[in-house]
Amino acid sequence: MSLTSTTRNQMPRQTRSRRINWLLYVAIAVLIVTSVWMFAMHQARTGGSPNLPLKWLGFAGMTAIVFGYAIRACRQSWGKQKFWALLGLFFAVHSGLGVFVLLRVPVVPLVLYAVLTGIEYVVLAAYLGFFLDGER
Amino acid sequence: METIQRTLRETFSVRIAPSRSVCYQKGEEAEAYRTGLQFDLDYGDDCSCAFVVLGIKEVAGGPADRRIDDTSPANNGPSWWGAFAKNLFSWKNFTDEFKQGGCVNVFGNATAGALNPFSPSLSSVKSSVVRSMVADANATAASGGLMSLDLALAQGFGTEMYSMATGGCH
Repeated sequence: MSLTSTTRNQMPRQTRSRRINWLLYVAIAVLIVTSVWMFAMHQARTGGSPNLPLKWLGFAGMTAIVFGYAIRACRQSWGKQKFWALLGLFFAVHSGLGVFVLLRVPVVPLVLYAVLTGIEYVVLAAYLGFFLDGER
Repeated sequence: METIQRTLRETFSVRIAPSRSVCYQKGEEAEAYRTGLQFDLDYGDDCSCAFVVLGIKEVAGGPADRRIDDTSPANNGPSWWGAFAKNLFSWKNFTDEFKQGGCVNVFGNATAGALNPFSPSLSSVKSSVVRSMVADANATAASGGLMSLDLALAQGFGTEMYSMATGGCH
């Protein structure tokens, strides 16, 4: 198959993939807005606080970003038990520390999560590199 | 060792001076290690000839793969201070400073790298795990910032909806 025909065949596939991605983005955005709206309505009816549980949402988002990117970056180590064991240990320490701190702190500024996400990712990279180096 | 599919383009010319002459003969292997943004050559004393390193192929996890392809015997040229002065006031050397591998270029890259906390020199990191992960560090840091912004927007939207439902705003 020539390069030109290969490129032509790939074009509709890429366009379709892009459309699916955009539809997914829109669906996720609608879902999030609806959830926040329903939460606000529920709180208004029951006389609760309008505040979202931001400290927990932030922690969950931070966890997803740090571990999600780490797992994606270490694709070559997916078949190794040691990688998952090390990641599991780090996750346990991360969760334990996070829950311990968040239970004792009433409010966590969102800016702190923005800063901590990058720092924790670098720490995780150094930790995995220390134990997995030379095994890939 | 795992070879990275990237060959560095820096060209290193070693200046001739009594205290900093290169001790390697043509074809002899020189020790070259990646340290930050520059390659440091392992020098010896009392050398009579110098060589130009034309290319260094980077290898992960250890000393760089090196080649010495050309020689320029110091004994046949001008004295070391003459060569030094000629190099110092050379227009080509001045413009080379701004190109890849030049000191001004290195200074600019190092300054930019120092300002950005998530862009360490990937080539200076020996661990392949850290290399692949640090390549995503910028995206991770950006995601953390975006997540915080999104949560703040969600809080604003939720409070507005709450206020509308309770008659606090119209």
